[in-house]
Amino acid sequence: MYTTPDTLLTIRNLHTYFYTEDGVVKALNGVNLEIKRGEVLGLVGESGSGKSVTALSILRLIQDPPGKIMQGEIWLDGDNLLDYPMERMCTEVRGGKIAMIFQDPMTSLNPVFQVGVQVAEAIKIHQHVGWKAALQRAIGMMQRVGIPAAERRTADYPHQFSGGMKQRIMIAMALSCHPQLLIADEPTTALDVTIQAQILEEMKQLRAETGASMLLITHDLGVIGEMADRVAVMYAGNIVEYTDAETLFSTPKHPYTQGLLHCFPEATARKSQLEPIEGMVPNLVHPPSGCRFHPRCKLAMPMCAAREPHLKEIALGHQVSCWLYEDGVIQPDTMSRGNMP
Amino acid sequence: MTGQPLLQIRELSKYFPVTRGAVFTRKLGDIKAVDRISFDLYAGETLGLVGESGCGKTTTGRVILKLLEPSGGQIVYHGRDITHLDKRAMAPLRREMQIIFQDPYASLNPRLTVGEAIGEPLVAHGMATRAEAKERVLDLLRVVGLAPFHYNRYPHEFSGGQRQRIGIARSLVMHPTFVVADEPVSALDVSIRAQIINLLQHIQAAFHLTFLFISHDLGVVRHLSDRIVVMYLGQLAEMAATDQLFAEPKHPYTQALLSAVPSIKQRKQPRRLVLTGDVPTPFNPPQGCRFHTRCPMVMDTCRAVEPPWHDTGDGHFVACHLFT
Repeated sequence: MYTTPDTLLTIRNLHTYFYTEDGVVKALNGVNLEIKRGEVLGLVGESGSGKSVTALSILRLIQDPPGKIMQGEIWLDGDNLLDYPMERMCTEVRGGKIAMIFQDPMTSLNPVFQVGVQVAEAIKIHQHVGWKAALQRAIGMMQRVGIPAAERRTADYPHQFSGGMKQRIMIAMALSCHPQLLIADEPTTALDVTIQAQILEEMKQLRAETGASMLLITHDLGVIGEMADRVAVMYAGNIVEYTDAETLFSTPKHPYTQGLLHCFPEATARKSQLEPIEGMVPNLVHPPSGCRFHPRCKLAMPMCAAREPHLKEIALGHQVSCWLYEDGVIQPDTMSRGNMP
Repeated sequence: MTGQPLLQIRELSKYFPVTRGAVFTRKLGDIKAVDRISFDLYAGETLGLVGESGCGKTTTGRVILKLLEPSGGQIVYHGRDITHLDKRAMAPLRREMQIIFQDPYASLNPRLTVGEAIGEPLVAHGMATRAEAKERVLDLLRVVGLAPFHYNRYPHEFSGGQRQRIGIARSLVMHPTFVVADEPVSALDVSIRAQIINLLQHIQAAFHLTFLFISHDLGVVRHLSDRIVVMYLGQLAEMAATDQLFAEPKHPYTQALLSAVPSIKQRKQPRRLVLTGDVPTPFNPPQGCRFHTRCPMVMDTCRAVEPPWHDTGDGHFVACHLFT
């Protein structure tokens, strides 16, 4: 294991499959990922690319059956989380060392409990304090995430809050136990833009204060641009490109990343034709052979269908999984078409 | 924009009554989903309608198509007042005015094949025999990027992007002049979204369509629209040509909306303007300017007097006391 001291979480060769009536869905096909202490790692991709499955696999929240983590390692603090007994996962890791915020704040709060109680419960369990102290801390947390009159509102029920406020409560709950890693799965997708701006701002500030690492999962490259230090791009269960955010937007290397950026209206002249990626995300029961992107790739070569590429460092801290960048195939400089206008 | 507008909307309103009790029903008041809005739509243009959820975008689209009865105001189409036309008188106009819905899963009948779903209106309006309808449908399938063998398939066999193509084909089958596109790409993935945006541009040019493009996604609206209307809590805040609006947003709400959009270009720059608070409820909207509770530039007049909707020059409309 070649982890450095500044690495918080390392995922090695993670395979998660789902056994369905139609066959085995190979949702994660050997994911390798590293989250450094204090950084925001963006995980971006389209629906079905395996972003959420990655997050759920880290917390071992994959429902079994139909899902199963087939192989791989998830290292946190020198321990492989996949070796932990489930009880230890529940008391120590989930909500403790690693907290998660889900996309839909409407369904992730229990409608029959007061929100203060829900926030305090997590504190009581993980920090081993009494109800009174836990409630006090819950109020403090709710104030910190910007809920007005937090003390009075602890007695309110989830339906009495707006979507943005509910997401704030989720954030308060997630951060209340000082996690080392915060996983945020599409935290603002269900919110309006002006509310999204508030929440992103709030998350930035809180993250800076607590120093926690964050795995930010989103399909919105704009949110990635705003928040992430480094970015991993996922396609059909693989990470295809992995680099810092600046580089990703200025010199994307993988044809899928380039295509994704060309799909953004913001990046092209008004009223011009966009350059979409033709075709559809593949069915993961029968994924394409070789590189899973090759049927949609404009630059596909014969070998792409035959052999699966692996992540390869093409510049310092810039990894790409594409045969174009194998030695002797093509020089990366000839790929400048991917530059943003 | 010059020439006669295709559609003139004047002081258009849609109120939904809120009642309590099943037998002795009491009316508690109205939700003013759309409240006295006015704008023109010119032939061949795309007018973008943006705003946050609950601001009345969708209701506006439906009232204009008379899928909902307006509560007040006027809809003038081709110089003719259609506000109070009954069902029978509307029927010929329905052919010219079509809608593309947001959710391609919910807007297709699962028991009809794609061919039947698209061709149904032709037969229903008595505009074609079944054989003619089939020919036209096959034609349209090609236009929207589907294949002839899709004709006999059912909606569940298609992906989201393909279903939206079906929805688009269906809106085109009657040779419309005016199409309301209600969040047509919001449910789609990024790469598929780009395909559908291209398709919308293509059909607009090919069929000389006028679009009312409703969306909460400013990037998409900017890409497609000639002019943009910004809506807040049932009323119009600002309207201008797209470049003008993005270069010089006047209304504080528009400014906040534009700066709220996370951008891949303005990376890690501090936000200029983050609004505080939530959108108030349209059941009991704030007095005066509806935006005053969240406005960073609020003045005393804003709390008392509703700002007039007026042209500040070059067709740049704004409803804000800062510009009166």
